[in-house]
Amino acid sequence: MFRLFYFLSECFFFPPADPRRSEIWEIFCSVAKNLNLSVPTLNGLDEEFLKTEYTRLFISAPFGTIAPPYASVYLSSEGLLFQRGHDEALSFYEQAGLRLEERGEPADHLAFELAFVGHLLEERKERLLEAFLRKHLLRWYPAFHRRLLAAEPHPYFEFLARLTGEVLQKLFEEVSYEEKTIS
Amino acid sequence: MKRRQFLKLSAASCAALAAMEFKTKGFLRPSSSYAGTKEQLPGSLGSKEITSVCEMCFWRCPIVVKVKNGKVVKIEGNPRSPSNGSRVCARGNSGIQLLYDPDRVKYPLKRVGARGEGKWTRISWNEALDEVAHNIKKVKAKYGSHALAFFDHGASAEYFREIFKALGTENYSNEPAFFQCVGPVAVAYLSTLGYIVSGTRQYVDMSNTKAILLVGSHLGENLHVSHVREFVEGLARGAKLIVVDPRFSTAAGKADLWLPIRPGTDTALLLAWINYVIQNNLYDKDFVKKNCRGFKELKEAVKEYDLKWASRICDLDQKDIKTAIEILAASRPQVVIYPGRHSAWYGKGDVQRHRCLAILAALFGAIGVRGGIYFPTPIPIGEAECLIGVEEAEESDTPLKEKFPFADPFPGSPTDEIIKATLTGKPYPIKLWGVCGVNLLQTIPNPYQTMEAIKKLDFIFSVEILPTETAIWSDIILPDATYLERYDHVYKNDELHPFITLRQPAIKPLGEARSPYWIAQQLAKRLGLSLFTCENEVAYLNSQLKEIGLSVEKLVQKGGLVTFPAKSYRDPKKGLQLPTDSGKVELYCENFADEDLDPVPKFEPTPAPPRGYARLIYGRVPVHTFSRTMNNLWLHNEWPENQVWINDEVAARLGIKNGDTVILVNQDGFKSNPIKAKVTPGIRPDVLYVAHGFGSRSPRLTKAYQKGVSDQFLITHYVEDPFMGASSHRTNFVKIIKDGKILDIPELRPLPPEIPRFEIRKG
Amino acid sequence: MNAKNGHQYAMVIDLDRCIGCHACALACRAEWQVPVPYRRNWLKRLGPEKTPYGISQTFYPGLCNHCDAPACITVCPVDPEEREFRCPDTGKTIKMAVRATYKEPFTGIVLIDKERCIGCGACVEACPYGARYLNEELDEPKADKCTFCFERIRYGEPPACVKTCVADARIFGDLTDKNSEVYKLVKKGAIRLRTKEVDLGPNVYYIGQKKDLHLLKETCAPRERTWENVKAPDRRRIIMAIAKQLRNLG
Repeated sequence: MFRLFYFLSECFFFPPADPRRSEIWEIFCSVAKNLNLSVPTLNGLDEEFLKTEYTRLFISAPFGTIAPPYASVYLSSEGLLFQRGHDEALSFYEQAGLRLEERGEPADHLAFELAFVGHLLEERKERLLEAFLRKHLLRWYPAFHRRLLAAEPHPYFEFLARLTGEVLQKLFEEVSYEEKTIS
Repeated sequence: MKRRQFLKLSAASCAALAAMEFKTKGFLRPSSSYAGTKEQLPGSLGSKEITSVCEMCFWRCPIVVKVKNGKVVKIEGNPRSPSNGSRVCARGNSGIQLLYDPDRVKYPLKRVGARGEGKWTRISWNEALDEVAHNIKKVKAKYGSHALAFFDHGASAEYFREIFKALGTENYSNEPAFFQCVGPVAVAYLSTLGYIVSGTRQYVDMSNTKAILLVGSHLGENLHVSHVREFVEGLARGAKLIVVDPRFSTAAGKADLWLPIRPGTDTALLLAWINYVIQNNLYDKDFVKKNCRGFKELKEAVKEYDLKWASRICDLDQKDIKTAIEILAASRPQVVIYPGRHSAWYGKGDVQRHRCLAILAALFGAIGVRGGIYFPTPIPIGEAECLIGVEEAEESDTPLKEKFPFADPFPGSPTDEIIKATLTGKPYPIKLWGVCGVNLLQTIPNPYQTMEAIKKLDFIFSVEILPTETAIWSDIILPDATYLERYDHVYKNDELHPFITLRQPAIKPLGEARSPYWIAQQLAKRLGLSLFTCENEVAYLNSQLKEIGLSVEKLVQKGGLVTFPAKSYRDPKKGLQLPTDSGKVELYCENFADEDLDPVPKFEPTPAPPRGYARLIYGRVPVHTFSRTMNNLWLHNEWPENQVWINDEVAARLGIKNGDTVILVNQDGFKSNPIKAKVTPGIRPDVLYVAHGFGSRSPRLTKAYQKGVSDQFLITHYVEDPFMGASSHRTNFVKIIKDGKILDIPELRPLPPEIPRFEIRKG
Repeated sequence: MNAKNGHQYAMVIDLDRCIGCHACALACRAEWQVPVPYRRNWLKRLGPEKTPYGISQTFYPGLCNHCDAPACITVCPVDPEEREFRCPDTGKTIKMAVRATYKEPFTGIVLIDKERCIGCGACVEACPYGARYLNEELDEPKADKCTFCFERIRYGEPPACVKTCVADARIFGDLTDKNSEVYKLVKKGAIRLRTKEVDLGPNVYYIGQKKDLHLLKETCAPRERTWENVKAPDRRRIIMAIAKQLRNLG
């Protein structure tokens, strides 16, 4: 299960994973079935379009970036990089005894945070995971998701974002349920 | 503890997941150290301090960048700096917003779809650089070097300019700073005093003067820190201030006398003053006799211009005109006849207007003295050899500068000529544009024409920090590092308190943005040019600083700034030796006469607004740098939109109240976005004013989307200055649309018969 | 409210020098990370407008006035608690019962105790200058405002706005020091923004041309006794604030 989050992390990191690959498509279909989501049509999706659409949504669009995938942008009114959300993410990584490898992106990139969720699951750090989701990731993901939707993304990206959101939500319910039952 | 499976995945997908090698698993690794929270000093105290140089505008104030926990938290002035000390302006303070702007271009981008669609895909640096180099070589091979053109401004652009120069094109530069701004004043002073008194800097000693004359210059709304400080200091010490401006500017608010002049008639006023000064013996006879050439011709040429005539032409009170000149004359030689800076106003008479200002200063003997015009101090650091490809630029058989006899001192070719050649292929085709530091569509008059020209190009690339309008039209976009993330040249300040300083990075560039030196170096390699051979910036900076016994390290150790003794004033015992042909002040310009241009300024009126229209004029605001800072949330919040200044009497007659929303439509039928009216007595009735740079689109600030009006998109008609090809910016006229109705502007100030009206092109 | 022999920090702003560049507003924002749309200090542009003394275009650089008799303090619903204050110069201490906002006895600076502030917003409404704001971005909303850079002046650093002022138009100092520039300027006749209706003894003064001071006073001196609309202690307000905090934590 933790592997699912490394997988989602790959989908949000450039160059994005190609959903036309059979094993990737299999995973999407399976998760979608679980969540009662309909799978998207992959019409018009080729390697170039995938990169272009990813660029349009998450990197650069005319005059600005549509849905910057960084916590910092959504967790303060100024919407800047490297502000409160970024420090929060770093603090969580530190608490888990982890350090971010230099990847040219700020620490609060969605891909890093999803990979972090994977690590916490793998290492069974449920308490920290619950806190991370509640206090941090789930506080900014919905706003990121809304901005993404407003840009009318290709059905694949719409699906990816929705699926990720629901998976995270389900995970949170699971972890906080266990928290409650333990405590 | 039992774990429930919250998702039941198919066996196949589980197997797939298990089999995959995730690079994302390697994002986070175990770390031994745990920093924990440290006790922090409040605010910006306790930060690491890195000296550098600001580039939020082009004045380049020395700064100190404060870094705390790896983040830039504050920017202040460098206390060692004689020009600004620990002070920075609103823009300087807001550099952090640029640095961490999520809209920054962080990766090389390639166009997908048509030019103007704004669809891109991220590519690698190698791909991007290969593509740019390939296209440059292709266009050069097919059409020749001159088919390559480069539009440049700012620190980053300087490196690429050398590449284009080395490629052999005469269009290696098109500085809007010259062709849209200081060109005319630079020509005027170069011809009169032999050096550029006003260009990048303005060498006038305002803090030690007894009187200041500003014609149009709105110091305090244009904000160059040290300059404004000198202005304020001079006033605080008792200097008198005369402001000639159709609008009651911030400077006018501090003036002893405000002359709300009819636009386009400043030269008439100046000529009448020159005549008055000569006729009433208010000039420095000794100075003129010893140091000026052409006084007799000047005296003869201006003899008909009297104050009464000027009063009528300029629509000013004759008493005020007299009072003004008497104040200025009484202060000589400590009088600053401010040369002006942005001088591309009307096209035809611009150079002559500034010639008048130079002549007036000369008549007062205010050259090379305290409180007057002074000389820049030469600073003895070497050139960075590896930055220079070729000394001289190539010229084509039909140079685009050809019809402008005085364009030579300015690098490259006039904007308008490049655009025309791109559009028409005459006199030769231009097929490739490089752009750096210029938002073409917000800078050059008639942006609609610019868009048409871009469509004709084989290739266009830009180096950007933020994705501007220009980026939307580019084929390849290269991500530039901000000034906080890199080195640049040694900066020389040759004003009254000379110094050198340098820019150094406070943090690593974001994403894959790279310093322009690196980008230019990579490009040069691919183009086979032997440029930028120094391994990195520190290497060439060291080679420059060696000449004065310094290095980057030593300079930084000294607080990032080193001062030099000034040589600003002339030795009173020696004669004045100017770098003109005669060594003297050229009141009469022979080389103008050689080109059939007036050797002594004459008054030639620029056409007045057609009936029912007002002239559209614009200016700066101290919180923004043109349109560049519109995406900066702090600055945008401070000044989110411009307003149109409308004279209160005109507004009353048209039924417009303060804060009403109106639309402007110009003589060519182009309409603006909605804009709020500022009804005030502080502007002439025949003029409408908007601050420049607004109305540019910025979805991040969605509340501000298309807020205010872009004056640029209303500047569709322009006249070329015959001296060096600058394009006029104040030759457009507007009417007001309110509630869907087009309103004629009532003419409250009668037009004298000598001034013709602008004729609107039919069709 | 000041301690005996305590200082009273004050600011004098020279409108002759001020060019309305807004650097002060930005430096403060940067120093204290004040999020847009809030602000601790501001610059308002006035005119051009006709005055009896001529046409004027000037500015209102505004900030908390650290009044002699602050209205904001009187509406704070938090129960007073005794605290000990220490003078950094003399080491002298004094005990005072203070609410969540108070006038520091040794500097005369009005401060907010962020630990005890419950974010009810009463003080924000009470200030006739609009100098305070409620920062609702925080998990627990708190009131905030200019502190005359209390934290910085302890370390010998000038207030951020003073340090950055391009035109050197802001003079900061101690009114109780007869040798200070602020004292001299106030004695010479610097004006402050107070009216018949609203006179809380503000400690920010202005000097400049007659026409500019006229325009400033006419347009910016407060006339509404805003604190009278705020009833304190207001139980409803307190309950609402506490309920909001509990919601945020949960």
